Amino acid sequence: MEYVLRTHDLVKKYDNKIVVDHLNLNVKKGEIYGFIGKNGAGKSTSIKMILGLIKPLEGTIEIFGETIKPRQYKHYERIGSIVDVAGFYPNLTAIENLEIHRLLMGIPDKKCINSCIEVVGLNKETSKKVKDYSLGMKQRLGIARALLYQPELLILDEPTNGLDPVGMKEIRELILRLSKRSQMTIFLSTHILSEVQQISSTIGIIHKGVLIEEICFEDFQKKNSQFIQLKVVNDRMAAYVLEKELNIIDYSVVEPGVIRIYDVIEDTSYLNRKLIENGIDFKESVTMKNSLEDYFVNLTGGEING
Amino acid sequence: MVNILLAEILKLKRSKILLLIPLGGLIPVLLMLLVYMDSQASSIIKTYVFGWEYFLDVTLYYANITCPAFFAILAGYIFTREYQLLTINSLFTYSFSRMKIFTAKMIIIIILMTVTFLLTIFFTMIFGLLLTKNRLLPDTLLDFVKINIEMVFINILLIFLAVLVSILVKNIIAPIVLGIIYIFGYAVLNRSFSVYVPSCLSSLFATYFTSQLGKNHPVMTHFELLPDIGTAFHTLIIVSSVSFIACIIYYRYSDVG
Repeated sequence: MEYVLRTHDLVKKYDNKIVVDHLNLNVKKGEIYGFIGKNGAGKSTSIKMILGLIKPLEGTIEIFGETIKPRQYKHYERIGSIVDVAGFYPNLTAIENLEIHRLLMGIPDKKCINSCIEVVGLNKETSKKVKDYSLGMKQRLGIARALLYQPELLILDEPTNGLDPVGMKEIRELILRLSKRSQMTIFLSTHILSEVQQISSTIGIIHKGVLIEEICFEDFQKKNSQFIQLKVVNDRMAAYVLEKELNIIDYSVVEPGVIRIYDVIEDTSYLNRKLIENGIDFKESVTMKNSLEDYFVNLTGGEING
Repeated sequence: MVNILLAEILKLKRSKILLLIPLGGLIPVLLMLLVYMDSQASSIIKTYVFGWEYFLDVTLYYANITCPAFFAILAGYIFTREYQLLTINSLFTYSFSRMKIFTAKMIIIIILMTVTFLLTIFFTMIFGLLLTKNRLLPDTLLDFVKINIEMVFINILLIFLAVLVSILVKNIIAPIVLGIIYIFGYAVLNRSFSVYVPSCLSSLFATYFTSQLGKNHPVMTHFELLPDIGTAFHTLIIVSSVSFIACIIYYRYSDVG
């Protein structure tokens, strides 16, 4: 297995408070890695350590198979990134901002600027100064900047922050397109779980600085198989009927009046009929699938934010 | 390095802060004009009595009160805007060291400081030609240019303090406050302890250099005694080297964000 990015026991403390605790990330070549966690979970700090913006207290970072040493810069040529909100010089146009990036990257060909602007759909807004851009346009310009030199690893920290649903969808599609077209490895950090669920091949869940789960999407799907959710008046009675009449044992009462049946039921109409025959009043019987949100809440034991 | 410098120049395009350069060049000349107009002599007498030395010295005197403040704000803007605009997050992820960025920014600041002093000379010449009937002797002009070059060096040494404050606080307010302190530092210029006050050093050195010309320079009338330039020099070296080393260490090793 070829890894583009790995971290080994990365630790960061601020004022004696551990912000990132022995983080071990494993990002495979060509995949979209969804790095999820609540606000303040340690996502941005982890990314800043990976990008050399802040120094880890302990641990090592391996990028493109090489352990990064202090003041080593060569690998940055192969990484594109947006950290926090993409920052730009407001007095300059989009093209001028990208020109600064081109100069600093040492890219000889100026054509790359226009092609990147086109990829993110800002080609009609090039004469505007960045101070007149909306947040969504700035985020797209940030992606254009990260793509300017076709990086092998693209690190995006909350790229859809502040975007409306249409903008979020556009960025999601753009990320998918990039991954498919150029086999780029994309490390996507977000607190919006639906964003990750739709495009990621591996998911890393960070909570209070600890990576509590790193799972590939196939395994996640297996773990989160279908279930039937019943909303009943009397859950005790319903549970009795499920066990005694239908021999269903893999079920749980998730909250009063709500039962989830995880056993495979071929004929749901038979289940419903049996419940009615046994005098169980139910308001709803639906086949559902555990979402990443449920999975996340189960793991972290709390609400998601954002 | 050339590309980093070009990028730094491009960042200043359409930037309003560049107005500080002509302002920094013009304000000392305007202050000199105020002093000239305030004089009791009639305008005809003034055109003959006030020689080029007067214009050049008074302008130099005011330039060394106002310019350090302008330079502190300019340097502060160039460094702090990267933190305030969050461009620092991408600036520090290029394949070169942070020290190259620091060096490029310092080169740009030094160029802008030199341009400011050149503009001061230019504006003084223009107003001098309008206000005096005396001839400008080549030696007088050369002396003035020489002192201005020396003052650029003094201000380069002083600017590290403003840069240090800027990168520590990461906000433009701090260098603005420092600039204001520089201007009010003028108030203690005649005190014996002024040789220990960084905000006075530029003016003290300007006075000293002018006094070394051995001519009748009106700026000297402001001082009862010549400054203890040896102590002032030591203060300058200590302030600049401590600031410079602290700048390097902090800019190179500090965490971002």
